[in-house]
Amino acid sequence: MSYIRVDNLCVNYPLYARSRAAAGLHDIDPDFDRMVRDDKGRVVGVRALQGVTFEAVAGERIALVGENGSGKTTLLQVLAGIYSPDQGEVEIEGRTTALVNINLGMNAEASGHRNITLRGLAAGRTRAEIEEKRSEIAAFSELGDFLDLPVETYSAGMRMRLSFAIATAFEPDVLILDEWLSAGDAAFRKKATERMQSFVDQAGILVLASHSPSLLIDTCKRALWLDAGRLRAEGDVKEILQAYGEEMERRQVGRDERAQAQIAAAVEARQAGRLKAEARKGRRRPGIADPDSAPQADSAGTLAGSLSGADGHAGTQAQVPALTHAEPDPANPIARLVRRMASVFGR
Amino acid sequence: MSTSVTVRRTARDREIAGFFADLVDGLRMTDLWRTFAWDEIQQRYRRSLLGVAWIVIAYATFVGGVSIFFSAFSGEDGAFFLMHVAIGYAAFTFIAGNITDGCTVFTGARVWIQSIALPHSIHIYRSICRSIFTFALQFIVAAVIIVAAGWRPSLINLMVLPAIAVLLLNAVAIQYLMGLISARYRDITHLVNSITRLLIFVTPVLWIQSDLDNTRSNFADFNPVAHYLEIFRAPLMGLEPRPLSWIVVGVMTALVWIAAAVMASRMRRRLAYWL
Repeated sequence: MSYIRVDNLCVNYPLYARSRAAAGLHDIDPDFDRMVRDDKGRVVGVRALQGVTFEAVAGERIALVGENGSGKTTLLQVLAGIYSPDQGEVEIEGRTTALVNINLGMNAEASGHRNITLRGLAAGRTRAEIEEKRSEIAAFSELGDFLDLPVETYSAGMRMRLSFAIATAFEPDVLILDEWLSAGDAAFRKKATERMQSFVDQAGILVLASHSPSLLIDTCKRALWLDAGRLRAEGDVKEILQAYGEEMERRQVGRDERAQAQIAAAVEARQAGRLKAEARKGRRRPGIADPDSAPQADSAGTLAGSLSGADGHAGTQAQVPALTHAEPDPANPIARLVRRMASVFGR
Repeated sequence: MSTSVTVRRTARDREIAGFFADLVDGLRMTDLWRTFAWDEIQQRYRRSLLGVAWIVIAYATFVGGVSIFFSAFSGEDGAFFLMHVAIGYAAFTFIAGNITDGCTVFTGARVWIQSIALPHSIHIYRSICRSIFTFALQFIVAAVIIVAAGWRPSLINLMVLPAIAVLLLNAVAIQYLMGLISARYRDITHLVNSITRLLIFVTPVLWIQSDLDNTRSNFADFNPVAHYLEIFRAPLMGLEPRPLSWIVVGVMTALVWIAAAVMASRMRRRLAYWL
C-alpha cells in the first residue's frame, strides 16, 4: 500500500548569486524572518519550509492551500524528489509522478508522440507498455493530429492536457499536481476531475495544490494549509478553506491599507517634486499665468489622505477625492503648454 | 504491474554511496538516455538537407585539408601524417568534447532535472552517447582514409580496446564533475571554452611530437590530453604507446574519479537549485 510520511521537513531555498545586501530589507519586507542570513546579515536564502509534518495513506486526496510564496510548490517539489530536505525526512511508498511546472518535463522541439515515449521511459515503463497506453493518451488529451507536431507549437492548455494525460495514463501510485490544472477549459477540467477521482478509487494518493476552492472541494477530502512555510492547520477541506478564506480576507484589508498609504505617499512625493520644479520655473517667468496655486491645494488634500490612510479606515474615503481632484492635472506638460499658449495669445 | 518502490529522503543521504547509486541507477535506464541522445542528434541536424551526413563531410574536409597543408611541416611521409591526423582528430574531438559538453550537461537538462526525479547520471550518459555517435561516424571516415593510405591490421591494434574503455570511464567522471561545477559557477563554461580552443594547438594532433626539438616535445608531455590521445592513436597506427602515457592516464583517471566523487557528494543534492 502506498503512503506518504513527512516528518519535520525543512527546506531552505538558496539564492546564490541572487543574494541581496541586508540594508533596507527590514523596513520593506513584512516577513523578513523567513530569510536565511549569513554572519554579515546578507540574505543568502529563504526558509521555504519549516518543520512540516504530515502523513497520507492510500486512497487519500489532499488539498494544499496557502498564499503565494507560502511553500506549496516547494513542498510538492520535495515530494516529487526534485529538491532534497535540509532537515527532517520524507518517505514515500509507491511510484510517484509529479506535474509541478507545466513548461517542464517535455522536450519542446520533439513531437507530442515523442514526448509520450520520453515521459513513459522516464516513468520507468517499457516500450511495450508505452505503446499500449499511446492511443489512450491520444484520446484523453484530444490532441489528434497535433501529436505529430512539436510541443513548442502547442498552447498552454494543449500542453497541460498532454502532460496530464501522460501522467495519469501510466497509473502512478502517488500523483502530485500543482495549480496549473486551471489552464484547461471547463470540459477538460470536468474530465480531469473524474479521472483523479477514479485514480484515487484505485488506492492512489493525490496531492493537489490550487487556488480554486471549487476544484479543491470537488477533488479532495482533506486539506493542508501552509502559511509562511509552516503547516498552519490541517483537516476537512471545507473547514480549512473556510478558515483560510476568512484569514486571507482579514490580511487583505490590512494589506490594502498599507498599499494605499504607500501609494498615497508616493503620489505626494511626486507632487512635492513637481511643486518644487514649478516654483523654480515660476521664478524665472513671472509673466505667465501661475498654475502653482492649484496643486498646492491638491497636495494638501493628498497629504491629508495619506495621513488618515496610514491610521486606518477613513483613508480610503479621504484619499479618493484627493486623487480624482488631481485629474485636470495642472502639472501635466501638455496642459501647461496649452495654457501657456492661451496666455500668450490672450495678451 | 505494480512493483513496490519506497523512497526515503533525509537531510543527509549517504553521500558518496549516493553518487555511485546514481551512476548505477542511471546506467540501468539505457533506453531512456539512448532515446534522449538520439533526439538530440536529430534536433541538431533537423531542417538540414543532408542531416547527419554533415558530420562525415565536415570531418573528411578537415582531415583532407589539414593533411595537404600541414604534412609539408612534418618530417614523416605523407601517408603517415594523414593517418596521424585522421585518427587523432576524431579522438581529440571526443576527449576535449567531454570537457566542453560536461559544462552544459546539467544546465542543458534543466527542463528535466526540475520536473522529474531521475538519476542525474542519465544526462551524463545521454551526452556521452551522443558524442560516441559523432565519434563513430568520424571514425568511419578515418578508417576509410587510413586503409586507403596503406594501413594493414596488426596485433598491436588490439591495444586500442583498453584505451577505449579508459576513455569512456574518464568521460563519465569528467562530465559529472564539469557539469556540477559549471552549473554552480557559470563562469567555468567560458573559462573552459577559452582554454579548449588553445588545446588543439598544444596537443599533438596537427603536429607530431617526434618532429619537435626536445623543449617543445617535453612541453607536450605536461599536457594530459596528449597522453589520452596517445594511448588511443598509437596502437591504431601500429606503434606501441609509451608506458609514460599509460601511467599518466592511469593517475589522471584516478584523480578525476576522486574529484568527481568528492564534488558529487557535496553538490549533487543541490543541483536542482542552481539551474
